[in-house]
Order: sequence, then structure tokens, then C-alpha cells
Amino acid sequence: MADQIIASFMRLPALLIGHPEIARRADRASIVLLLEAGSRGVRLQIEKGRAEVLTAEGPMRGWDIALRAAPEAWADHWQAVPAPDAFDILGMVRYGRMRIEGNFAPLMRHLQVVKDILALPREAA
Amino acid sequence: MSPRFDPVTGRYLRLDIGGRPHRLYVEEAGQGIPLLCLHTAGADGRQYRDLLLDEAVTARFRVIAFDMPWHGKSSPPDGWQDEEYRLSTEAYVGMILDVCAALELDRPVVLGCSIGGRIVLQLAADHPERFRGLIGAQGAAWQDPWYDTDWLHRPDVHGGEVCAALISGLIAPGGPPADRHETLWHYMQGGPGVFKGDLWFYRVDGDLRDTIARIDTACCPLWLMAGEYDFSCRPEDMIATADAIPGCQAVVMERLGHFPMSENYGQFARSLTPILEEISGPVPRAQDARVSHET
Repeated sequence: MADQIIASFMRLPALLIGHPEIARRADRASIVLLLEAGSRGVRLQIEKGRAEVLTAEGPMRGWDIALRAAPEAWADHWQAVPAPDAFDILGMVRYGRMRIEGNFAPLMRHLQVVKDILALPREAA
Repeated sequence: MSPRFDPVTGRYLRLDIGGRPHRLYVEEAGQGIPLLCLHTAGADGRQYRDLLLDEAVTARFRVIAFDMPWHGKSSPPDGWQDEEYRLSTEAYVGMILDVCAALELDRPVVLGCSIGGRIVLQLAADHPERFRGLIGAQGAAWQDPWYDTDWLHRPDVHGGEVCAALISGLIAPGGPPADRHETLWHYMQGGPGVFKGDLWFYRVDGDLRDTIARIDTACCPLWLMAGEYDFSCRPEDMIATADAIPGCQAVVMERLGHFPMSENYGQFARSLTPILEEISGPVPRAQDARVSHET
């Protein structure tokens, strides 16, 4: 399942292009997320309304904030109608299904648009 | 074509709260048993817009929703610019009693949500004789914090946007999109530091786990409700409180989150209506009403 989750992370930039109403709200965003599914991860850079997937492996791969969850938790987050313990990233933390660690300032500046971008794979459910 | 006004009256009430003059915005609709509605932290009385328009309720209840001081169209008190707003348990109870007195309400029912759902527990403990019934939506004596309220009021993060973004996940999926986004809009419009100030009651001053031992539901009936998608006041948080209060009735609501009256009123009404009927007596069936009229 981790492969599927990583593949969904890789599709996020294209999904964002398909949602100009979200891209508009991300126009002032500047943040690098580390997205982990189990032991695997990628970095997602959101900058000026666009997203780009970057490798997380190798030296000096910096990021602002990490969202760490089991592959099953990400899959549950992307259900068409997620369960109460998988609907919201902060709720997933509350229910012990995700860890969010790092510099919270850029996340809190852009919290809604980050939530909306990370939920985009839900539309394919 | 005549103007299409909602059958709701909005007025400004002059009263003293805690000994200070205030100008409070109050909306009401209907006649009958007073039903005083308390909005959530960081929002205002617009959360009850659909309840105020529910003719099944307003036929038998005088529904009243006011904006707390500092919220909505209610002004902060004179001198606000020199103080930090922080809602305390004592001040919150005093405000509710002052509003009831100023409106000359005779043993109203109080319906509160979130901080309003918690303060009804304090009312039940200390002032049960003043109320006909108490309903706490998303109400529990305590729940663990899930974020640092310092993020709600600081110069490098937009307060309105972060307040709405934090609570957006507390609205259940699948409800009417317009109501989801109106609920968020209310949070985007809050004054700087007001949501954080309300949460001082919720997070610091309002631990009511000991207080609920004093509640006697024989003096005033008490209902607690929780939406299944609320991860702030989770159903298990509400049930833990209800289980500790003999006679308290607990209702878990499907497809609802932390703002049931605002995010999806139709779904909320399924749970609220039976409670209101228990308070007011069953709604007469059409045939019974006709017979009653004829006799």
C-alpha cells in the first residue's frame, strides 16, 4: 500500500493544477512538507500557487514540517467520506493516527490550503 | 414585489454585564417557552440562523440568540483597547444570568454549543431553579487540548484565516457546502484574540470535572449531545461527562461535527426536536388540533 500512497503524493502537483480555486489561495504560500507513509516519504514544495514533489532522500533535504502516518491512515484520509478519525489531519493527530512535527509557523500561515491540497486524492475515491 | 425579510427580529439590548454597560445584539423569533441559544467560541449568534427559521420550533418557543460581548455585532465594553479579553467561568455565568434578567425571561431553556455546551453544566450545578431545561451540544466537563491557542493571535499568522482553518476539520463531511462555508466565515470575522480569549474558559478556567458532582437533574433536566465528527469534544468526551451525572441524557449525532446547528441544521433537528418536545410536550397532531379548536 505504501507504493500507492507515494504515487498519490506524486500526483498532488497535477491535481492542484486542476483546481485553480485552491491554487489561487496558495498564491502566497511558501512551505516544504515532508510527507511520510510508514518508512517512505517525499517532500512537497508549495510555492506561488504551484506544488512540486522533491526527493526526501539524500543529504541536506530540508523541510519545514513533517506529516507522518501509516499508509493505511493516508488511505483512510482519502476515502470519499472519511471516518471521523481520518477526515482532518489535526483530527488524525488527536486520534493518534498522524504525527505533525517541525516548524509550525508556515503550516499555520497556510493551514487551510495545505489541508485542501493534501485532501485532493479524495476526489478519485 | 414586497421585500423578503426572514421572520427574525434583530435589536440591540442595553444592559450591565458584570457591572459594566454593554450593547448586545440579540435576534429572536417565535413565541412561547424562551429558548436562549449560546454560540461557540470565536463565533456569534448567526450560528442559530436556521433554528430561528424553524417554524416547528418557533411555534412553541421564543428562540433568542445573542452575540456575546466582543463577538458579532455586540460591542466590546468601553476601554476594551487597554485590556486582554479572557472569558472566565464566573464571567460567563454572570453574563448569561444578566441577559436572562435584562430580557425578563421566565425559566428559559438554554441551548449552548461548545463553550456554551460546557457552561450549561455550571448553570446546572449552581442555578438549576432558574432554568426549565439545559441542553449542551458538544458539551463535556473537560477535554484534552489538541492545539496551542497561541497560534490564534499573533502578528505573523492571519487570525481570521487560522481560526477558520483550525476548526474546518470539526465540520462533518457531506453537509450542505453553503453551511460549511458560512460557519467558517463567522470564524474568519472574529476580532483579534477573541477566539483565544474564549478558549481561556475552555482550556484553563473551565475544568468542570468536580463541578458536575453537584448537578441534580431532578431540579432541571439536562441533555448532552455530540456530533460523531467532532474530534475536539468527541462523543466519548461527552459520554464520560453524561455518565457521571445521574439522569443526564446523552445523544450522539451522526453526520455532524462541532457546529451542529450551523453546519447542518436539518440533521441536527432530528436530535434536537425530540428534546424540545420532551420539554414542551408533544406537538399536537393536525386532527387533535382541529378537535381541540372545535371544542
